[in-house]
Amino acid sequence: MNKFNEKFPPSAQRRLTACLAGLAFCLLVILLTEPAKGAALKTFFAGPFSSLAAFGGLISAATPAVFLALGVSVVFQCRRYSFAVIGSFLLSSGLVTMFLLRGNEKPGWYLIPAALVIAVAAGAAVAVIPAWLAVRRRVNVTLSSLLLNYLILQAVSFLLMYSMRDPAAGQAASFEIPQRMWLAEIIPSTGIRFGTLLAAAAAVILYLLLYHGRLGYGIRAVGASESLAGYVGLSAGAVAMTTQLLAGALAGLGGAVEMMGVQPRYIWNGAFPAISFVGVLAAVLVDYNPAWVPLSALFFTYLWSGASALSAQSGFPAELALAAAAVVVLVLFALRDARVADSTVRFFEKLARGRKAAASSADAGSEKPAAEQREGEVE
Amino acid sequence: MTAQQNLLFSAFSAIFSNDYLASVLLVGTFLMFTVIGVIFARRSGVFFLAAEGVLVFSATAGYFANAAVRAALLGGAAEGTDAYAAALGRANALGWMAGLLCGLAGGMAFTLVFCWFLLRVKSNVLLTSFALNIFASASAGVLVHLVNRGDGAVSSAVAAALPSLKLSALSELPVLGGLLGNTGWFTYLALLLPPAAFYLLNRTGFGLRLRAAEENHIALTATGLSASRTQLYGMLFAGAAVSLGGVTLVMAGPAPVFSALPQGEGYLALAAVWACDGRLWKSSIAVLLLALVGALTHVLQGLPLPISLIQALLYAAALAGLLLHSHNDKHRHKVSLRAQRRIVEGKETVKKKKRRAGRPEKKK
Repeated sequence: MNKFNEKFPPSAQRRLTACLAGLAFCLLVILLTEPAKGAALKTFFAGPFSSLAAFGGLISAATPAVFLALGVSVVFQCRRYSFAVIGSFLLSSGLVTMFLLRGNEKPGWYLIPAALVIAVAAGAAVAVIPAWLAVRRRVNVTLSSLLLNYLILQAVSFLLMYSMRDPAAGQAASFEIPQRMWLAEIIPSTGIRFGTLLAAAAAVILYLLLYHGRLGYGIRAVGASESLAGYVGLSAGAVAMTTQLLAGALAGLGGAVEMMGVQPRYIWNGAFPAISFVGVLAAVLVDYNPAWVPLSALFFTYLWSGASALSAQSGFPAELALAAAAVVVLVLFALRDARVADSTVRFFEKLARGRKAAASSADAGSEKPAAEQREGEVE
Repeated sequence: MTAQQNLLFSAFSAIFSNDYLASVLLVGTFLMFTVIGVIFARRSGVFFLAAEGVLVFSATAGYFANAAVRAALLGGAAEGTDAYAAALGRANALGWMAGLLCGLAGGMAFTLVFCWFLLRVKSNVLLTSFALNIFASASAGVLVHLVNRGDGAVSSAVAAALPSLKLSALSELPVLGGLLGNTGWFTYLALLLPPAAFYLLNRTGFGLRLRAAEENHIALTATGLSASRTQLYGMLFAGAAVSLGGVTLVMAGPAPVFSALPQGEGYLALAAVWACDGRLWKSSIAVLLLALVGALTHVLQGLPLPISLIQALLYAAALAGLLLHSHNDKHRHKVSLRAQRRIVEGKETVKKKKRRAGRPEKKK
């Protein structure tokens, strides 16, 4: 059993259980509420794997979430629980949309890099406000960043309604960004664009930065203990500012990637994009480790794209995926408590025993309880 | 008159109207409930970020329970018929009562889940609240879909409004009569709540223990009390108050429609409390100021004005409040440093600080 724990540590077991709980939540809700159960389940769970294009769509939809989650993982490693990345994402995608729609006659080689620069600058500019308020004015960074998100949401909605709205589109949406301004497709006919490559590179770079670099060591040191970091000569304020700037820039880049090929219309009029919440939760699931962020972002986007496909098919709201994502994170938190983990294990054991007694066939359902049992052991 | 003058005129006439004052009262009522809840949470030493989720949850539960009960009692009678008129009074009365009860129950259940994570699992309060808030708003969306897709009885039914209090003496006042005579009893409850909360927090043993939970867990434990149990009791009050806020949010208007889901009002309430250092009276004034700004969106809705920018003013006001508070804090700190220096240099003797009974020590 110990050997198993070495190969598959309890923290990973907990994450896997939490993901399974999220999937089970979706399954349960669909089974209980949808009239056409079979078709709905097929669309939700198998839809993203039905064709190469659908799978490519899943990967490209996960790309902005990866950027957001990378940004979140940096700030959370520094224990600055700032949610300003959502605002960064919104402002940069809004500004990029406006810039690209305005610059219709300019060549692509100018537009695309300029849009990326604008996105990075806008994202960083948003993130720096709560960071500065926290460092210089000691304003609670969570609260100020959340309020700022709402402020930016409304401001960009104003931009959308007054300067880039497409009257022909059904609901409030901007004009579509012309295809020649999208990022280049790297694998033909899948929709996987250059942005995905950027996201993968960013994940690797951030992993190296955080775990093998000087700045990353500083970030983690400030997160672990601010006073100790002060004693060894780090300035907690400077590190926090740098971290949040970096996070904002990453989220801004995510906004640009989203607009340039993934979702070429700005559509968020007065409601936050689900992808931003997905990004934050994806970072939380893997304990802010950039190496695992792409995988968890892919999992959450899988839920989201399944729910969107279901929503297009039968009108069931795609928010189901957001609720499931929240359930994943909450179950993960709950399982970290030893008592909760133990009682979960006991419950599954009892379930298995009951089933054994009833069916008297030894192997039925014994696989899962065994895995659960191992998970109960504290690290 | 040019078009701009015309617009300006209609905007001003919208602001200087009884409608504006009425919506200030409406917005202020539910913000006041929420703020009182957040203050109770702060006194129990909890950063109640999940207040937003509690608002959403109680509003959704309350509204749909209300609409369902009302639809069941009306029994599908068409509007205008005698059967409709006969059943209407009873349906409305039972409808809002059911809404109130279910809203309270939903909000309290949500608070209890939050408390379980906070006090038992001891997970990160910010991340847990964030996830819970997402869960609340997402499940509200799913619920709205399920209800609308249903047999049509509930979806077409409108919820009953909370009844208003007819005070004949007040309604004869010259200017404010039309307003005060028609105010919901919830508004009066919201006005009564701060003094009641003040009494509970500062004049009773329970309040003392609660404040100890905010300031000094060790002292609380040393007296033989369980800190987390005290926190739980405080959070029950907090959850109840915020749930009342959620119920009033959707049901207090003259004609309730389920589109008024909170847009970060829980965070606004948190900002109001934190900008006022958790003081009751200051926070109540902050609620009034926020309501003055928030009601603008309601009355200027129909005019060709950028409504989203007016709504953004609300969040800007909250941020400005937080900034102002931090500025004051810094100033106060400097003043006290200067006083200390004077005392050290012997220019001044130590003044005995006047302390009012029951007023808690300032948090550092």
